[in-house]
Amino acid sequence: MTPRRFSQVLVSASPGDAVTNEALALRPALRLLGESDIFARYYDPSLAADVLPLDEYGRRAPSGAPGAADDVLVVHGSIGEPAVADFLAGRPERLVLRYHNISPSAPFRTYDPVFAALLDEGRREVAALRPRVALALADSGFNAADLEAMGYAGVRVSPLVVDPADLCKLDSHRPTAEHLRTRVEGPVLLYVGQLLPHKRPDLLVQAFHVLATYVDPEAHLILVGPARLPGYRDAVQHLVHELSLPNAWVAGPVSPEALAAFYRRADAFVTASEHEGFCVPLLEAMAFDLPVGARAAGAIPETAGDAALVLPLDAGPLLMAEAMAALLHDDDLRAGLVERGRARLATFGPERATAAFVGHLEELA
Amino acid sequence: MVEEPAASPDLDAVLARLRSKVEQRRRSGAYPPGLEDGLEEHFRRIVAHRATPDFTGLRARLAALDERAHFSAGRIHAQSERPGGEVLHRVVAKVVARQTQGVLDQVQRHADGVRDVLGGVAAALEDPAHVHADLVEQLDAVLERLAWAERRAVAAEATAADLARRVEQLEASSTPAR
Repeated sequence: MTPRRFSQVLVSASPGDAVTNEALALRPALRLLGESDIFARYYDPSLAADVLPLDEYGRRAPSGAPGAADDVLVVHGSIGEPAVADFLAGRPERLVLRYHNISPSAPFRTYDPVFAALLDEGRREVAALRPRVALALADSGFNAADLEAMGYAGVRVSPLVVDPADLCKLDSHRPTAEHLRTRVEGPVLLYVGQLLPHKRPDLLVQAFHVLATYVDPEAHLILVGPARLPGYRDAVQHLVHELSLPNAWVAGPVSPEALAAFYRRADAFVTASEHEGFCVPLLEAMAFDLPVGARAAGAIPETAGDAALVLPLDAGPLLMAEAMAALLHDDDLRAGLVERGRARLATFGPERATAAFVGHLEELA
Repeated sequence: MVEEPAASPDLDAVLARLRSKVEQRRRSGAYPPGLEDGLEEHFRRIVAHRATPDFTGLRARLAALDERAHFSAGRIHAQSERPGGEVLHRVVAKVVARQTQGVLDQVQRHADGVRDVLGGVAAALEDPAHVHADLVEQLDAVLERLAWAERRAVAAEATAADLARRVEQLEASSTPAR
Protein backbone atom coordinates (compact mmCIF):
# COMPACT_ATOMS: atom_id res chain seq x y z
CA MET A 1 0.00 0.00 0.00
CA THR A 2 1.11 3.57 -0.60
CA PRO A 3 2.01 5.44 2.57
CA ARG A 4 -0.18 8.39 3.47
CA ARG A 5 2.06 9.90 6.10
CA PHE A 6 5.75 10.74 5.98
CA SER A 7 6.34 12.21 9.44
CA GLN A 8 9.73 13.20 10.81
CA VAL A 9 10.87 12.50 14.37
CA LEU A 10 13.71 14.33 16.11
CA VAL A 11 15.04 14.06 19.63
CA SER A 12 15.42 17.81 19.85
CA ALA A 13 14.83 20.75 17.57
CA SER A 14 16.47 24.11 17.89
CA PRO A 15 16.98 27.10 15.57
CA GLY A 16 20.15 26.99 13.53
CA ASP A 17 20.77 23.30 14.26
CA ALA A 18 21.76 21.43 11.08
CA VAL A 19 19.44 18.46 11.79
CA THR A 20 16.47 20.74 12.48
CA ASN A 21 17.24 22.75 9.36
CA GLU A 22 17.24 19.60 7.29
CA ALA A 23 13.89 18.46 8.71
CA LEU A 24 12.40 21.85 7.90
CA ALA A 25 13.89 21.83 4.41
CA LEU A 26 12.57 18.32 3.68
CA ARG A 27 9.03 18.99 4.89
CA PRO A 28 7.67 20.72 1.75
CA ALA A 29 8.89 17.86 -0.45
CA LEU A 30 7.47 15.25 1.92
CA ARG A 31 4.14 17.06 1.94
CA LEU A 32 3.93 16.48 -1.81
CA LEU A 33 3.99 12.75 -1.01
CA GLY A 34 1.46 12.81 1.80
CA GLU A 35 0.75 14.26 5.23
CA SER A 36 3.99 15.35 6.86
CA ASP A 37 4.80 17.05 10.12
CA ILE A 38 7.85 17.30 12.35
CA PHE A 39 7.68 15.87 15.87
CA ALA A 40 10.31 16.32 18.55
CA ARG A 41 10.78 15.19 22.14
CA TYR A 42 12.32 18.56 22.99
CA TYR A 43 12.05 21.72 21.00
CA ASP A 44 12.81 25.38 21.32
CA PRO A 45 9.60 27.39 21.90
CA SER A 46 10.50 29.62 18.96
CA LEU A 47 9.85 26.60 16.71
CA ALA A 48 6.35 25.93 18.07
CA ALA A 49 4.77 26.86 14.74
CA ASP A 50 6.86 24.27 12.89
CA VAL A 51 7.49 21.45 15.35
CA LEU A 52 4.93 19.40 17.28
CA PRO A 53 5.51 17.62 20.58
CA LEU A 54 6.21 13.92 20.14
CA ASP A 55 3.21 13.06 22.36
CA GLU A 56 0.99 14.64 19.76
CA TYR A 57 1.88 12.02 17.14
CA GLY A 58 -0.15 9.25 18.75
CA ARG A 59 -3.23 11.47 18.89
CA ARG A 60 -2.92 12.36 15.21
CA ALA A 61 -2.00 8.88 14.05
CA PRO A 62 -3.40 6.18 16.36
CA SER A 63 -1.22 3.11 16.05
CA GLY A 64 -4.24 0.87 15.40
CA ALA A 65 -5.58 3.04 12.56
CA PRO A 66 -5.99 1.26 9.20
CA GLY A 67 -2.93 1.70 7.01
CA ALA A 68 -0.72 2.90 9.87
CA ALA A 69 1.76 0.11 9.20
CA ASP A 70 2.25 1.41 5.65
CA ASP A 71 3.08 4.93 6.76
CA VAL A 72 6.67 6.14 7.15
CA LEU A 73 8.46 7.66 10.08
CA VAL A 74 11.71 9.39 9.19
CA VAL A 75 13.77 9.22 12.36
CA HIS A 76 16.69 11.65 12.56
CA GLY A 77 19.41 9.94 14.62
CA SER A 78 21.92 12.24 16.30
CA ILE A 79 21.75 11.53 20.03
CA GLY A 80 20.17 9.03 22.42
CA GLU A 81 16.82 9.55 24.12
CA PRO A 82 15.01 6.69 25.87
CA ALA A 83 11.59 8.36 25.43
CA VAL A 84 12.03 8.42 21.66
CA ALA A 85 13.26 4.80 21.65
CA ASP A 86 10.16 3.78 23.65
CA PHE A 87 7.92 5.74 21.31
CA LEU A 88 9.39 4.04 18.24
CA ALA A 89 9.13 0.61 19.85
CA GLY A 90 5.36 1.09 20.14
CA ARG A 91 4.75 2.30 16.59
CA PRO A 92 3.77 0.13 13.62
CA GLU A 93 5.03 2.49 10.85
CA ARG A 94 7.96 1.66 8.61
CA LEU A 95 11.05 3.44 9.85
CA VAL A 96 13.52 5.38 7.75
CA LEU A 97 16.63 6.13 9.75
CA ARG A 98 18.26 9.39 8.75
CA TYR A 99 21.65 9.07 10.39
CA HIS A 100 23.64 12.20 11.21
CA ASN A 101 26.12 10.43 13.49
CA ILE A 102 26.35 10.21 17.24
CA SER A 103 29.49 11.72 18.72
CA PRO A 104 31.93 9.35 20.45
CA SER A 105 31.49 9.48 24.20
CA ALA A 106 35.15 9.21 25.26
CA PRO A 107 36.06 12.92 24.91
CA PHE A 108 33.06 13.84 27.07
CA ARG A 109 33.67 11.53 30.02
CA THR A 110 36.03 13.92 31.76
CA TYR A 111 33.61 16.82 31.60
CA ASP A 112 30.12 15.30 31.76
CA PRO A 113 29.83 11.57 32.45
CA VAL A 114 26.01 11.74 32.27
CA PHE A 115 26.09 13.22 28.77
CA ALA A 116 28.74 10.68 27.78
CA ALA A 117 26.41 7.90 28.96
CA LEU A 118 23.61 9.43 26.89
CA LEU A 119 25.80 9.25 23.79
CA ASP A 120 26.62 5.59 24.48
CA GLU A 121 22.93 4.90 24.99
CA GLY A 122 22.22 6.65 21.69
CA ARG A 123 24.48 4.26 19.83
CA ARG A 124 22.82 1.30 21.56
CA GLU A 125 19.40 2.65 20.57
CA VAL A 126 20.45 3.04 16.92
CA ALA A 127 21.83 -0.51 16.90
CA ALA A 128 18.67 -1.86 18.55
CA LEU A 129 16.49 -0.16 15.95
CA ARG A 130 18.10 -2.06 13.09
CA PRO A 131 15.46 -4.85 12.69
CA ARG A 132 12.74 -2.22 12.43
CA VAL A 133 14.46 0.03 9.90
CA ALA A 134 13.20 -0.34 6.34
CA LEU A 135 15.70 2.13 4.91
CA ALA A 136 18.86 3.65 6.36
CA LEU A 137 20.02 6.93 4.86
CA ALA A 138 23.34 8.41 6.00
CA ASP A 139 24.30 11.95 5.08
CA SER A 140 27.93 11.03 4.43
CA GLY A 141 29.96 7.99 3.53
CA PHE A 142 31.62 8.25 6.94
CA ASN A 143 28.23 8.00 8.65
CA ALA A 144 27.22 5.12 6.39
CA ALA A 145 30.33 3.22 7.49
CA ASP A 146 29.46 4.00 11.11
CA LEU A 147 25.99 2.49 10.64
CA GLU A 148 27.44 -0.57 8.92
CA ALA A 149 29.74 -1.03 11.90
CA MET A 150 26.56 -1.21 14.01
CA GLY A 151 25.24 -4.06 11.87
CA TYR A 152 23.21 -2.18 9.27
CA ALA A 153 23.28 -3.40 5.67
CA GLY A 154 22.35 -1.63 2.45
CA VAL A 155 22.91 1.84 3.90
CA ARG A 156 22.45 4.56 1.26
CA VAL A 157 24.32 7.84 1.26
CA SER A 158 22.01 10.79 0.67
CA PRO A 159 23.64 14.21 1.06
CA LEU A 160 22.56 16.50 3.85
CA VAL A 161 19.87 18.91 2.71
CA VAL A 162 21.57 22.18 3.45
CA ASP A 163 21.83 25.55 1.79
CA PRO A 164 25.05 27.12 3.07
CA ALA A 165 24.31 30.22 0.99
CA ASP A 166 21.31 31.00 3.24
CA LEU A 167 23.59 32.82 5.67
CA CYS A 168 25.04 34.95 2.88
CA LYS A 169 21.58 36.36 2.25
CA LEU A 170 21.40 37.81 5.76
CA ASP A 171 22.49 41.32 6.65
CA SER A 172 25.27 41.38 9.23
CA HIS A 173 24.37 42.16 12.81
CA ARG A 174 25.43 45.80 12.86
CA PRO A 175 26.96 46.07 16.37
CA THR A 176 28.98 42.90 15.75
CA ALA A 177 30.14 44.09 12.35
CA GLU A 178 31.06 47.46 13.85
CA HIS A 179 32.99 45.85 16.67
CA LEU A 180 34.88 43.65 14.24
CA ARG A 181 35.59 46.61 11.96
CA THR A 182 36.89 48.93 14.66
CA ARG A 183 38.41 46.59 17.26
CA VAL A 184 39.89 43.72 15.29
CA GLU A 185 42.89 44.75 13.24
CA GLY A 186 44.90 42.19 11.34
CA PRO A 187 44.10 38.91 9.64
CA VAL A 188 41.30 36.84 11.21
CA LEU A 189 41.02 33.08 11.47
CA LEU A 190 37.49 31.90 12.24
CA TYR A 191 36.25 28.68 13.77
CA VAL A 192 32.51 28.01 13.79
CA GLY A 193 31.12 25.01 15.61
CA GLN A 194 30.19 23.76 19.01
CA LEU A 195 32.82 24.32 21.67
CA LEU A 196 33.09 20.64 22.55
CA PRO A 197 36.08 18.39 23.31
CA HIS A 198 35.88 16.30 20.11
CA LYS A 199 35.93 19.49 18.00
CA ARG A 200 39.30 20.31 19.59
CA PRO A 201 39.13 24.11 19.82
CA ASP A 202 41.82 23.67 22.49
CA LEU A 203 44.18 22.37 19.78
CA LEU A 204 43.22 25.30 17.60
CA VAL A 205 44.21 27.66 20.43
CA GLN A 206 47.53 25.83 20.81
CA ALA A 207 48.20 26.19 17.08
CA PHE A 208 47.21 29.83 17.24
CA HIS A 209 49.66 30.33 20.10
CA VAL A 210 52.44 29.03 17.85
CA LEU A 211 51.25 31.23 14.98
CA ALA A 212 50.98 34.39 17.08
CA THR A 213 54.22 33.82 18.98
CA TYR A 214 56.56 32.65 16.23
CA VAL A 215 55.01 33.45 12.84
CA ASP A 216 52.37 36.18 12.70
CA PRO A 217 51.79 38.27 15.84
CA GLU A 218 49.08 40.32 14.11
CA ALA A 219 46.76 37.36 13.51
CA HIS A 220 43.45 36.87 15.33
CA LEU A 221 41.51 33.73 16.14
CA ILE A 222 37.77 33.88 16.83
CA LEU A 223 35.87 30.84 18.09
CA VAL A 224 32.11 31.06 17.48
CA GLY A 225 29.58 28.52 18.71
CA PRO A 226 27.71 27.27 21.74
CA ALA A 227 29.42 25.47 24.63
CA ARG A 228 27.40 22.63 26.12
CA LEU A 229 30.02 21.83 28.74
CA PRO A 230 30.84 24.78 31.02
CA GLY A 231 33.95 23.02 32.37
CA TYR A 232 35.43 22.56 28.90
CA ARG A 233 34.61 26.11 27.82
CA ASP A 234 36.22 27.37 31.03
CA ALA A 235 39.34 25.30 30.30
CA VAL A 236 39.65 26.64 26.73
CA GLN A 237 39.13 30.19 27.95
CA HIS A 238 41.74 29.64 30.62
CA LEU A 239 44.21 28.29 28.07
CA VAL A 240 43.73 31.47 26.04
CA HIS A 241 44.37 33.55 29.14
CA GLU A 242 47.34 31.52 30.34
CA LEU A 243 49.05 31.58 26.95
CA SER A 244 48.57 35.36 26.92
CA LEU A 245 46.69 35.50 23.65
CA PRO A 246 44.86 38.83 23.54
CA ASN A 247 44.03 38.23 19.87
CA ALA A 248 42.12 35.01 20.58
CA TRP A 249 38.43 35.48 21.29
CA VAL A 250 35.97 32.83 22.48
CA ALA A 251 32.82 34.56 21.26
CA GLY A 252 30.31 31.81 22.17
CA PRO A 253 26.89 31.34 20.58
CA VAL A 254 25.66 34.09 18.26
CA SER A 255 22.61 34.89 16.14
CA PRO A 256 22.65 34.00 12.41
CA GLU A 257 23.07 37.71 11.59
CA ALA A 258 26.07 37.99 13.91
CA LEU A 259 27.49 34.77 12.43
CA ALA A 260 27.22 36.34 8.99
CA ALA A 261 29.19 39.33 10.33
CA PHE A 262 31.96 37.02 11.61
CA TYR A 263 32.15 35.16 8.30
CA ARG A 264 32.33 38.46 6.40
CA ARG A 265 35.16 39.76 8.59
CA ALA A 266 37.19 36.54 8.55
CA ASP A 267 40.13 35.89 6.25
CA ALA A 268 40.15 32.11 6.61
CA PHE A 269 38.19 29.30 8.27
CA VAL A 270 39.97 26.73 10.40
CA THR A 271 38.99 23.70 12.43
CA ALA A 272 41.03 21.10 14.32
CA SER A 273 38.06 18.79 14.86
CA GLU A 274 38.77 15.07 15.28
CA HIS A 275 35.21 13.88 14.62
CA GLU A 276 32.66 15.21 12.13
CA GLY A 277 29.64 13.44 10.67
CA PHE A 278 29.35 16.07 7.93
CA CYS A 279 30.60 19.56 9.02
CA VAL A 280 28.27 22.22 7.63
CA PRO A 281 30.52 25.18 8.63
CA LEU A 282 33.06 24.11 5.98
CA LEU A 283 30.45 24.78 3.32
CA GLU A 284 29.26 27.98 4.98
CA ALA A 285 32.82 29.28 4.93
CA MET A 286 33.11 28.39 1.24
CA ALA A 287 29.86 30.27 0.61
CA PHE A 288 31.54 33.35 2.11
CA ASP A 289 34.57 32.84 -0.16
CA LEU A 290 36.89 31.90 2.68
CA PRO A 291 39.79 29.50 2.24
CA VAL A 292 39.33 26.52 4.53
CA GLY A 293 41.81 24.52 6.61
CA ALA A 294 40.98 21.38 8.56
CA ARG A 295 42.28 18.00 9.66
CA ALA A 296 41.23 14.79 7.91
CA ALA A 297 38.70 13.77 10.56
CA GLY A 298 35.48 11.83 9.96
CA ALA A 299 33.52 13.18 7.03
CA ILE A 300 35.66 16.29 6.54
CA PRO A 301 37.63 14.98 3.51
CA GLU A 302 34.45 13.99 1.66
CA THR A 303 32.57 17.18 2.54
CA ALA A 304 35.47 19.46 1.64
CA GLY A 305 36.63 17.49 -1.39
CA ASP A 306 39.64 19.22 -2.93
CA ALA A 307 38.41 22.64 -1.81
CA ALA A 308 40.16 22.75 1.55
CA LEU A 309 43.67 22.43 2.86
CA VAL A 310 43.18 19.15 4.70
CA LEU A 311 45.98 18.22 7.07
CA PRO A 312 46.55 14.69 8.35
CA LEU A 313 44.53 13.82 11.44
CA ASP A 314 47.67 13.67 13.56
CA ALA A 315 48.71 17.22 12.62
CA GLY A 316 49.82 19.06 15.74
CA PRO A 317 50.03 22.74 16.64
CA LEU A 318 53.23 23.40 14.63
CA LEU A 319 51.96 22.09 11.29
CA MET A 320 48.58 23.68 11.93
CA ALA A 321 50.22 27.03 12.65
CA GLU A 322 52.08 26.89 9.33
CA ALA A 323 48.81 25.99 7.60
CA MET A 324 47.10 28.95 9.29
CA ALA A 325 49.86 31.26 8.05
CA ALA A 326 49.54 29.89 4.52
CA LEU A 327 45.74 30.28 4.57
CA LEU A 328 46.17 33.92 5.60
CA HIS A 329 49.11 34.98 3.45
CA ASP A 330 49.65 32.66 0.48
CA ASP A 331 47.62 34.48 -2.14
CA ASP A 332 47.80 31.71 -4.74
CA LEU A 333 46.63 29.13 -2.24
CA ARG A 334 43.83 31.40 -1.02
CA ALA A 335 42.59 32.18 -4.54
CA GLY A 336 42.73 28.53 -5.57
CA LEU A 337 40.84 27.32 -2.52
CA VAL A 338 38.15 30.00 -2.86
CA GLU A 339 37.59 29.06 -6.46
CA ARG A 340 37.43 25.37 -5.64
CA GLY A 341 35.10 26.18 -2.75
CA ARG A 342 32.62 27.78 -5.13
CA ALA A 343 32.70 24.71 -7.35
CA ARG A 344 32.34 22.43 -4.34
CA LEU A 345 29.29 24.31 -3.11
CA ALA A 346 27.55 23.76 -6.40
CA THR A 347 27.56 20.02 -5.69
CA PHE A 348 25.63 20.54 -2.44
CA GLY A 349 22.51 22.24 -3.82
CA PRO A 350 19.55 21.71 -1.48
CA GLU A 351 17.19 20.95 -4.38
CA ARG A 352 19.41 18.14 -5.60
CA ALA A 353 19.84 16.74 -2.07
CA THR A 354 16.08 16.88 -1.45
CA ALA A 355 15.36 15.13 -4.73
CA ALA A 356 17.84 12.39 -3.84
CA PHE A 357 16.27 11.94 -0.41
CA VAL A 358 12.72 11.80 -1.80
CA GLY A 359 13.86 9.40 -4.50
CA HIS A 360 15.04 6.99 -1.81
CA LEU A 361 11.71 7.32 0.03
CA GLU A 362 9.74 6.61 -3.13
CA GLU A 363 11.44 3.25 -3.34
CA LEU A 364 9.46 2.33 -0.25
CA ALA A 365 6.11 3.06 -1.87
CA MET B 1 36.21 34.80 -24.37
CA VAL B 2 36.30 32.11 -21.74
CA GLU B 3 38.17 33.14 -18.63
CA GLU B 4 40.95 30.77 -17.65
CA PRO B 5 40.54 29.36 -14.15
CA ALA B 6 43.18 30.41 -11.61
CA ALA B 7 46.02 27.98 -11.29
CA SER B 8 44.82 25.30 -8.90
CA PRO B 9 47.05 24.74 -5.89
CA ASP B 10 48.70 21.37 -5.62
CA LEU B 11 47.65 20.66 -2.05
CA ASP B 12 50.11 17.79 -1.62
CA ALA B 13 52.93 20.15 -2.58
CA VAL B 14 51.56 22.79 -0.19
CA LEU B 15 51.47 20.26 2.61
CA ALA B 16 55.04 19.15 1.86
CA ARG B 17 56.15 22.78 1.92
CA LEU B 18 54.44 23.37 5.28
CA ARG B 19 56.11 20.31 6.77
CA SER B 20 59.43 21.51 5.50
CA LYS B 21 58.91 24.94 7.09
CA VAL B 22 58.14 23.30 10.43
CA GLU B 23 61.37 21.31 10.18
CA GLN B 24 63.38 24.41 9.28
CA ARG B 25 62.03 26.32 12.27
CA ARG B 26 62.71 23.37 14.53
CA ARG B 27 66.28 23.05 13.28
CA SER B 28 66.99 26.75 13.52
CA GLY B 29 65.79 26.78 17.12
CA ALA B 30 62.94 29.19 16.32
CA TYR B 31 60.62 26.66 17.92
CA PRO B 32 61.85 25.76 21.41
CA PRO B 33 62.39 22.03 21.94
CA GLY B 34 59.29 20.23 23.27
CA LEU B 35 56.97 23.08 22.28
CA GLU B 36 54.12 20.84 21.08
CA ASP B 37 54.30 18.45 24.02
CA GLY B 38 54.50 21.40 26.39
CA LEU B 39 51.33 22.92 24.97
CA GLU B 40 49.41 19.66 25.21
CA GLU B 41 50.64 19.10 28.75
CA HIS B 42 49.69 22.67 29.58
CA PHE B 43 46.07 22.04 28.56
CA ARG B 44 45.97 18.71 30.40
CA ARG B 45 46.98 20.54 33.59
CA ILE B 46 44.18 23.05 33.12
CA VAL B 47 41.64 20.31 32.50
CA ALA B 48 42.77 18.15 35.39
CA HIS B 49 40.96 20.12 38.07
CA ARG B 50 37.90 20.87 35.96
CA ALA B 51 36.87 17.26 35.46
CA THR B 52 33.40 16.28 36.62
CA PRO B 53 33.43 13.17 38.82
CA ASP B 54 31.32 10.24 37.68
CA PHE B 55 28.32 9.94 40.02
CA THR B 56 26.55 7.12 38.21
CA GLY B 57 27.72 4.55 40.79
CA LEU B 58 26.51 6.71 43.67
CA ARG B 59 23.12 7.17 42.00
CA ALA B 60 22.77 3.42 41.45
CA ARG B 61 23.52 2.75 45.12
CA LEU B 62 21.02 5.39 46.22
CA ALA B 63 18.38 3.80 44.00
CA ALA B 64 19.12 0.39 45.52
CA LEU B 65 18.78 1.92 48.99
CA ASP B 66 15.43 3.41 48.01
CA GLU B 67 14.10 0.00 47.11
CA ARG B 68 14.99 -1.34 50.57
CA ALA B 69 13.67 1.64 52.51
CA HIS B 70 10.08 0.51 53.07
CA PHE B 71 9.50 -1.35 56.35
CA SER B 72 6.54 -3.59 57.06
CA ALA B 73 5.61 -6.07 59.77
CA GLY B 74 4.23 -8.28 57.00
CA ARG B 75 7.79 -8.97 55.86
CA ILE B 76 8.81 -10.46 59.24
CA HIS B 77 8.62 -14.17 58.56
CA ALA B 78 6.98 -16.53 61.08
CA GLN B 79 8.36 -19.81 59.78
CA SER B 80 9.83 -22.21 62.32
CA GLU B 81 11.39 -25.68 62.20
CA ARG B 82 9.86 -26.62 65.56
CA PRO B 83 6.37 -28.15 65.76
CA GLY B 84 3.84 -25.41 66.44
CA GLY B 85 6.59 -22.81 66.20
CA GLU B 86 4.99 -20.94 63.30
CA VAL B 87 1.66 -20.67 65.15
CA LEU B 88 3.47 -19.42 68.23
CA HIS B 89 5.34 -16.75 66.19
CA ARG B 90 2.07 -15.57 64.64
CA VAL B 91 0.45 -15.30 68.05
CA VAL B 92 3.40 -13.36 69.47
CA ALA B 93 3.41 -11.10 66.39
CA LYS B 94 -0.26 -10.39 66.95
CA VAL B 95 0.23 -9.71 70.65
CA VAL B 96 3.05 -7.23 70.06
CA ALA B 97 1.73 -5.88 66.73
CA ARG B 98 1.10 -2.43 68.14
CA GLN B 99 4.65 -2.14 69.55
CA THR B 100 6.23 -3.60 66.38
CA GLN B 101 4.32 -1.15 64.21
CA GLY B 102 5.38 1.71 66.50
CA VAL B 103 9.04 0.77 66.12
CA LEU B 104 8.67 0.34 62.34
CA ASP B 105 7.02 3.77 62.03
CA GLN B 106 9.92 5.38 63.86
CA VAL B 107 12.48 3.54 61.74
CA GLN B 108 10.56 4.44 58.57
CA ARG B 109 10.53 8.13 59.51
CA HIS B 110 14.25 7.99 60.24
CA ALA B 111 14.99 6.16 56.98
CA ASP B 112 12.92 8.67 55.00
CA GLY B 113 14.88 11.49 56.63
CA VAL B 114 18.24 9.84 55.89
CA ARG B 115 17.16 9.20 52.30
CA ASP B 116 16.21 12.86 51.84
CA VAL B 117 19.54 14.00 53.27
CA LEU B 118 21.53 11.60 51.06
CA GLY B 119 19.53 12.70 48.02
CA GLY B 120 20.29 16.33 48.87
CA VAL B 121 24.00 15.63 49.34
CA ALA B 122 24.17 13.73 46.04
CA ALA B 123 22.34 16.53 44.21
CA ALA B 124 24.68 19.13 45.72
CA LEU B 125 27.72 17.11 44.64
CA GLU B 126 26.37 16.77 41.12
CA ASP B 127 25.45 20.42 40.84
CA PRO B 128 27.82 21.98 38.28
CA ALA B 129 28.01 24.99 40.61
CA HIS B 130 29.53 22.73 43.26
CA VAL B 131 33.06 23.82 42.53
CA HIS B 132 35.38 25.44 44.97
CA ALA B 133 35.78 28.48 42.76
CA ASP B 134 38.26 30.15 45.09
CA LEU B 135 40.47 27.05 45.16
CA VAL B 136 40.27 26.60 41.40
CA GLU B 137 41.35 30.21 40.94
CA GLN B 138 44.24 29.82 43.37
CA LEU B 139 45.28 26.61 41.66
CA ASP B 140 45.08 28.32 38.27
CA ALA B 141 47.28 31.14 39.56
CA VAL B 142 49.87 28.67 40.86
CA LEU B 143 49.82 26.69 37.61
CA GLU B 144 50.12 29.88 35.63
CA ARG B 145 53.26 30.88 37.53
CA LEU B 146 54.63 27.36 37.19
CA ALA B 147 54.02 27.39 33.44
CA TRP B 148 55.70 30.79 33.23
CA ALA B 149 58.71 29.45 35.10
CA GLU B 150 58.82 26.39 32.83
CA ARG B 151 58.65 28.56 29.75
CA ARG B 152 61.46 30.74 31.13
CA ALA B 153 63.56 27.65 31.77
CA VAL B 154 62.98 26.32 28.26
CA ALA B 155 63.66 29.76 26.77
CA ALA B 156 66.86 30.09 28.83
CA GLU B 157 68.06 26.69 27.59
CA ALA B 158 67.37 27.67 24.01
CA THR B 159 69.11 31.01 24.49
CA ALA B 160 72.13 29.32 26.05
CA ALA B 161 72.30 26.85 23.16
CA ASP B 162 71.99 29.68 20.69
CA LEU B 163 74.74 31.66 22.43
CA ALA B 164 77.02 28.61 22.50
CA ARG B 165 76.42 28.09 18.79
CA ARG B 166 77.22 31.73 18.03
CA VAL B 167 80.38 31.65 20.14
CA GLU B 168 81.50 28.54 18.26
CA GLN B 169 80.82 30.25 14.96
CA LEU B 170 82.70 33.33 16.11
CA GLU B 171 85.63 31.27 17.26
CA ALA B 172 85.70 29.35 14.02
CA SER B 173 85.63 32.49 11.94
CA SER B 174 88.25 34.32 14.02
CA THR B 175 90.77 31.46 14.20
CA PRO B 176 93.69 32.47 11.95
CA ALA B 177 94.52 30.07 9.21
CA ARG B 178 97.70 28.16 9.82
